[in-house]
Amino acid sequence: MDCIAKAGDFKDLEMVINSYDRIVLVVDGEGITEGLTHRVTEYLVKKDITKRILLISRHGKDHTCGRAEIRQISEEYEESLLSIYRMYDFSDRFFVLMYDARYGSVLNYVKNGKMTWDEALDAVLCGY
Amino acid sequence: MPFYVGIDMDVKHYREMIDNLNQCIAEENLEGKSIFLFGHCEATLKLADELLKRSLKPKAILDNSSVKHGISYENIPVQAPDMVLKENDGNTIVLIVTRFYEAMNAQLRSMGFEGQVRKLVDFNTYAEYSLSEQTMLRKRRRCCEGYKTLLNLEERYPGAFFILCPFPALGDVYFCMSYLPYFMKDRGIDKVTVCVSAKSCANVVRLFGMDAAIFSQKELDAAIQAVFSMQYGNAFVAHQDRPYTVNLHRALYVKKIPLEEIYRTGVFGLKGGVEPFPPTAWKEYSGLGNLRKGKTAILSPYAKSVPPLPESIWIDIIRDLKNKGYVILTNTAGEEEPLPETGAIRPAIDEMKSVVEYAGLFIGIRSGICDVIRTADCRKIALFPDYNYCDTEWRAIDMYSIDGFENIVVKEGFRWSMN
Repeated sequence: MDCIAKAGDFKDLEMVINSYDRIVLVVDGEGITEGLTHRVTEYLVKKDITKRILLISRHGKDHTCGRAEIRQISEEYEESLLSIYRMYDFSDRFFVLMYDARYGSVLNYVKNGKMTWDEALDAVLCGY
Repeated sequence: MPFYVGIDMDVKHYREMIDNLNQCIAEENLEGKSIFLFGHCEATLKLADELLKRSLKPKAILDNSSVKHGISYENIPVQAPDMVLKENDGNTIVLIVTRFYEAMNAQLRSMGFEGQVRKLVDFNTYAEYSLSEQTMLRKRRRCCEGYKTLLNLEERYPGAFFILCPFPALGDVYFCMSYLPYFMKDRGIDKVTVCVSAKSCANVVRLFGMDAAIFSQKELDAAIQAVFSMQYGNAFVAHQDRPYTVNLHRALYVKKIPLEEIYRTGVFGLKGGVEPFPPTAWKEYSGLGNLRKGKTAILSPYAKSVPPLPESIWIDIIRDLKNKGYVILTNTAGEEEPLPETGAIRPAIDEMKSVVEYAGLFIGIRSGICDVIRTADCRKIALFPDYNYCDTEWRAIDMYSIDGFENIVVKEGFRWSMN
């Protein structure tokens, strides 16, 4: 797990990817994504997650709940991960939960009352 | 395991598949190998046809959907992917022609398959499941190419905001255009250019009175990647499940959200009750005088990404319409042939409304053409093959049911009747 703390070492990232069913980078922001990491953490704590999920975030606190793990990362590492994620789809196990004005998102469903937070997080974290 | 739902092929991808297949045959001595295909979809069936033409018979079509296990195509059985492990050696090759190549390859490797896996069509230029330096360098170069495309767009369309439609489906582009004016208002955008990868999609854009720019699929993909990679702020990618950054389709694992609602609420972030804008830039078909007004039926049996209906259904429909005194025409494009005992009609997209309104009756498989004519004032019947939408529990009619149409599901044992 050391690799999660440092930037640029993508060989280790490959190993991390192979160790989990899903790796989710959560990026807090403004509006609907304010406090997003806290919200996702609460969701993971209350849900009985059967899949091996690794949540990584600048705003997370290291924590294990069932089969899900939460790990804090540095701002620098978050930037590195975002940079490569935006460049290509390097794994179907890795995805980013954030608001981006360049494309649609389930966060729009939450914002407009089409889905509850639990439904949206069920969908993106467990619905696959 | 996820179910990978493939798409039908356009001519360009078909040619790419044939070129790569011929190269694969030359390099791999396929005659002496056990061949498996992965993903039961139209593109895979076309590949099976091509292999059979060359006297190469695949052992099986692998598919994650248990519903498909046990069916066959040209005596090639559809089986679970782990069946390939029975021939797990250097003499076995898996050929893939869907956009899920990377995920399928990863699945085969995680199962322990050690034979060859080969991609014959590059449907998904976004994905490459590797973090090697070479891959990253290649992807970085691709983003630079995409960025050049964006800069060229800025020169050609000064002052415009760019809407990028990643997939050439008429229905997707129609929904995009129906709600785009609200999005523009919300963001204070006066002028847009909509970027698409097919002429037919550009024609849908122009129906709504907006500029369209046409690119090859690979150019458009690279431009979209550059939008993300360069954090380009003058563009929006308007689609419900492409590229990989978009997570809207995942909502369907927990809730039924019809496609139009996905565009309205999910893609554009609009309120649920907002009404779609209708297309306005219609033209009149010059051959209307050759139709019998109010007593002509326009049949539309072809669709790009929908399983076809059995021809027997269309034969029943044609027989019934003849008995009722209709002149029957098949809407065709490209190399499509008219249905038996019908004439062909080839109106442009912006002429379709005038054709069906003059004819009086439209009966079509549920495809993007149904969206194009949804505001037409005539009797409209949409036929839905009974299949699941992607790997969700929802049926096609749940996702695509269309206001103003008689929506009919064609299940096994279906008998056509029309009052």
